Amino acid sequence: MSASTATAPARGLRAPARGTLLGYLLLLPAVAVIVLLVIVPMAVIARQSFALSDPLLGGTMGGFTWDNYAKLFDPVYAKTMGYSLGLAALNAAVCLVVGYLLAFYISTRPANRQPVLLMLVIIPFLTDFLVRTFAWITLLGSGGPYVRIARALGFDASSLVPSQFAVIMSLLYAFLPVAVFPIYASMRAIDPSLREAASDLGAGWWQTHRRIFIPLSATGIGSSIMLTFVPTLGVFVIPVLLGGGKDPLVGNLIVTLFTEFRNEPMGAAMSMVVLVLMLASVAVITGLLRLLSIRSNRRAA
Amino acid sequence: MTQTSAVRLRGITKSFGSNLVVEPLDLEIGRNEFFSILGPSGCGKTTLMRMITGFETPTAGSVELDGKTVDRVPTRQRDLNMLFQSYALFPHLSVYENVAFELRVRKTAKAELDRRVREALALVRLEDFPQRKPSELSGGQRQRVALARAVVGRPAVVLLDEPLGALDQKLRKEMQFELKRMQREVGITFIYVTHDQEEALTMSDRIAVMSKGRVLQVAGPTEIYDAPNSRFVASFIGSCNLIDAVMSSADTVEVAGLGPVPATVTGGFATGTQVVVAVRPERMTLTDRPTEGSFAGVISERVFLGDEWTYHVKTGGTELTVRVPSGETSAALATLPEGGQVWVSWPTAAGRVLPADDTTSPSLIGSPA
Repeated sequence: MSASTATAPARGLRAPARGTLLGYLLLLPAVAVIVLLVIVPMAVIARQSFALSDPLLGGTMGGFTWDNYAKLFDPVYAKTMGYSLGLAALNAAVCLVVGYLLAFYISTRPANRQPVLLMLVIIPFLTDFLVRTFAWITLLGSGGPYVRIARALGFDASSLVPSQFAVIMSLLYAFLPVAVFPIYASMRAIDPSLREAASDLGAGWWQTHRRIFIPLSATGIGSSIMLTFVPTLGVFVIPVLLGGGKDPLVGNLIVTLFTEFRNEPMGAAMSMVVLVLMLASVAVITGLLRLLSIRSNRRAA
Repeated sequence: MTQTSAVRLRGITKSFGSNLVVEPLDLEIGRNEFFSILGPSGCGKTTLMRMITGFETPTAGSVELDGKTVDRVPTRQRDLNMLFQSYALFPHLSVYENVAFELRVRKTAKAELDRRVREALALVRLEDFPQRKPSELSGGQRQRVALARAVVGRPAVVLLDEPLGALDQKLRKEMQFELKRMQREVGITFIYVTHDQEEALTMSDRIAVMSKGRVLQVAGPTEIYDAPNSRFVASFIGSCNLIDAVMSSADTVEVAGLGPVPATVTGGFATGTQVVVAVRPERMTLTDRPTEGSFAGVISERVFLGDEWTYHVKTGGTELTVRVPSGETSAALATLPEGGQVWVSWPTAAGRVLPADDTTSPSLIGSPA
């Protein structure tokens, strides 16, 4: 991504002046899409988050107040926020570990087999999110293969739906492809002889990863964390279907505020908070990565 | 040597599927020896080396290091290091940390680690910029870092996979002497894999010449050059006139169109056997008048190479290559035009009789590495 943004101005400079207008014209559709579908709705939500709510009909009444944000400090909301952050962090961690191992495995297979393995990772991604979630209900629910196999083996098993485990499994399944791809991309760029060199120099599996592969795929790892952590904060279907809806996430709360409580300003405020949290986490992760690379440079010096 | 051999291969074989890459072979490499494995690309030399390091598992046979079988010992526990063709330096680590890698993995104490890293960097004459990243180094410097990294843990054996391949001609020559000096200084067995005969001849104590998965000859550089045991070895190392001939008796060879030629017969060839007589171009003498035992011929081409003249001379049905050092060209010879009459001769000791047909015929092109 950074490469394309870096080359764009260079190309603009090289282009003759009469081409500039055409360039802007070509940009227009993209700009229109972003303005109409991203910036305008976001501005509407931002405005609503400061509005007074209509206690009788729902909807907004205009005006300006900080009340909507202040009310979010209520322990009930704070707890949901904390739980969401925790679940997002847990999912990001699980996806990172599984995704890293999978990416390493795929990148070390013979070149002609790698595309097939990647396809296997992508295929679930092409299915609808809801379908995938329901699939887990069937797999882990009563009468499903998990219960039957466990009982056949003599274990006293019962349905795993609803449970935290089912939520985590389903989240992992949903986000694994986006965790695998960035790491795979960085690993592909690593000279395969480095692995042999490391083992030749006495490094075992863990040392090879800790000293060579993890540092060299750090950018991919960072992207992978962001691409799993941030979207998990906005998830709301999975906890309802597989977690029994007892522990709502921020996403569920926003849906509830908008639809059941008909309190649009508070829903909007909550949305803005989530947005800020997402941006903050992106900033924190990028910052950590930068710090890490500076530290490794210093240590080397 | 039986007691102290650093590496010993017994009946080692490797095949990939139905493709036999290394035919069963026995090989012993002594301690502190500079041993080269020389052959064209695709001859199996890299596979042979990778079996010693443990990167490849032999299909059959076993590898012994310092008298102990290591067939079940993984690479990281074998007392050897490899210098990779691509150097395989860790790009995110500095020169210092690259060299220190093995010592850090083996949890060497800090003071000891620092001392040994500096020692290794001094050995390769790279003390000046330990903080630089590999990307900030020249090819020659990268290679020195790789070498320091390979010797810092004081392994018994260092294997070098065509290490000079990526360097320019001048640097290659310099590094050849450097490598030899370092090998003597550190007292480590070097196994040097190359397709460059000059490198092998300059540095090695002994050379194994490989072709198509077979080791044809193992001997010192002078013996390999002066007494090749096969057509392939004669033609792959240096240049050589290979003259088709027939054994006319137990100790005389006859060339069609020339009659009996001077040659030393070593192997027992039956009368009537097709053979080749191998004569190095620089062992031949070219004169502008007949001498005793010389063959008349015509200059078909001559090329000036600075330090020598290369003549192509047609005698009988055979085209011979003769090298004459620039200073030794007589005035009479120098003025002879192409097409001029000359006489070629060589001493009996210079002609070696070899089997006409190596069971492995030379193939310098083709087969992938």
